[in-house]
Amino acid sequence: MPKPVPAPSELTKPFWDAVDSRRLVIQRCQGCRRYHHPPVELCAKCLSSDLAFEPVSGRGSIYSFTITHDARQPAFAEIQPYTVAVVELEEQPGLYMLSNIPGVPTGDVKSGMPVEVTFEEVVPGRFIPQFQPSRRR
Amino acid sequence: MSDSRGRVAVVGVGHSKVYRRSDVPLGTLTVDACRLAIEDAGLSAADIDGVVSPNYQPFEMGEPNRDGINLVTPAFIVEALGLEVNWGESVSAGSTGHCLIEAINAVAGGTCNYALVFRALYSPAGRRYGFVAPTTAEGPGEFRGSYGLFPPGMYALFMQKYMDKYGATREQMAAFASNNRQNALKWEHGYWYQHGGGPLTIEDYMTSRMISYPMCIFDCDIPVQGCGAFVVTTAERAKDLRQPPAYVLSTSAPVNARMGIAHSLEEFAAAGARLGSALLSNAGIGPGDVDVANLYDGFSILTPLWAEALGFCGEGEGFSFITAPTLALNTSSGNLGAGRMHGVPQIMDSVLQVTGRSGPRQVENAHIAVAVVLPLDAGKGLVFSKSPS
Repeated sequence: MPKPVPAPSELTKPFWDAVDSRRLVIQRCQGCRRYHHPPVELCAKCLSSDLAFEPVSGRGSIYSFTITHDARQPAFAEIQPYTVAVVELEEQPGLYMLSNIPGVPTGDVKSGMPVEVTFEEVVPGRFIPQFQPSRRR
Repeated sequence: MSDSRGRVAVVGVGHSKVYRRSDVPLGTLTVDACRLAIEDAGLSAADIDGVVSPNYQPFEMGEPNRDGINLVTPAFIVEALGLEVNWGESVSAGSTGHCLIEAINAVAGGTCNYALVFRALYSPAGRRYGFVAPTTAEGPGEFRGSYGLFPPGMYALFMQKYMDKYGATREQMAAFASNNRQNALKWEHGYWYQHGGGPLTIEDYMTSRMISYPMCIFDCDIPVQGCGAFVVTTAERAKDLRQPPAYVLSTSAPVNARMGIAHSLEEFAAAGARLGSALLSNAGIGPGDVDVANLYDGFSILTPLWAEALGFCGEGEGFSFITAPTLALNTSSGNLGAGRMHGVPQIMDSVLQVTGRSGPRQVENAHIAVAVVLPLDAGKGLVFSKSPS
């Protein structure tokens, strides 16, 4: 059974379109330069509506993680146990994304681990961002 | 200090029997709890002129709403009890604590004189609780739904971060869970009391089934079907009623800034601390004045975080505190002991403690009790007192 596939809205479509072409972009306020994820309609920090999607490095580190042994949906019950990690992107403190850290055994994931973006094809042609241990030294 | 300190009181409580599954319609259990609360106050249904309840269940069930079966609306209770109300509200978030605060404010503002608050929790028979099979990730779950992060995991992320940051351990949580089960065996409205639970040893906890590491099954509340109800009125009217009043010294129900994909532990703790300091200062008290604290535990990690948020211990000391608390902690046994009653036990035993009605759980000279419910970013807090000032 496939994982739930993201259903973009008009607001979030640029993010998912980029992901489907294996690029990571994050919405950024052009007024105060703050990144917003998930995307917002209006920047609550500076009230600018000049918001654009900009490429980011795709690098970050694992803020925290959990290993799910008892999922609430069949698509995930099939693959348990699996990791869910919160990844903090290096562009901005608190700029978080989720990842299952594919390719790393569940017990080997640690907080603080440096990671970089990769992409998982959840159904043909539709991708989600994932993160794997950074290959940079 | 708040101007409305001690002007309103909880004057009646009622609780239905609790079931593991929906063996008895939720509407029936709700009528039971409401009747008991009204009777406890020494009132009749004709006196009730306000009614409020949450209109949602804690988890997505994937079922259409069925009034009286998988939720119970205030309108259902108006019809079932023949109430004539001047104020009522069906609240989409916030659960028991939020609705009680709404009722307190409605009474204080004179919109009604005797408000009935109820919280009815549904646990479906014949299927796994909250087990759904969406094909798309959309709305609030658009950026989360494809990764398999569910409510236990959202809180396990905080527990893992806490353990990494402060060196806290699962063994400490095991000691808390074991002590809490002793409280559960004294809470007559709870699942483990009514359905033959025994003690929980540290070994039971350490060897139990993992749900979302580092959280095991005993870090999670068991879903149940049942209802709790409360009657609220002014301090002036409370004097003439059957039970001693549990005076409300203060309430707090903040809204926090929007969250991104996840909260950091630090943001989550800061949200709780904002509630904690407002709640205590509006009551005109400090942490050392509190005799009984019922701190929410829908997931176990929430209790030590709430203890820190209210200043009962310092940052990073929460796990040590809950294993050897310096006040009467979670006398109701919370959700972990009572089942997924979503704030009912925490508030109800706080009321019973300050009115000297807590029976085998009674804390000697319990003058002030604090109840905080829900996770720290959505917390609702109430301070109850034996005396109005």
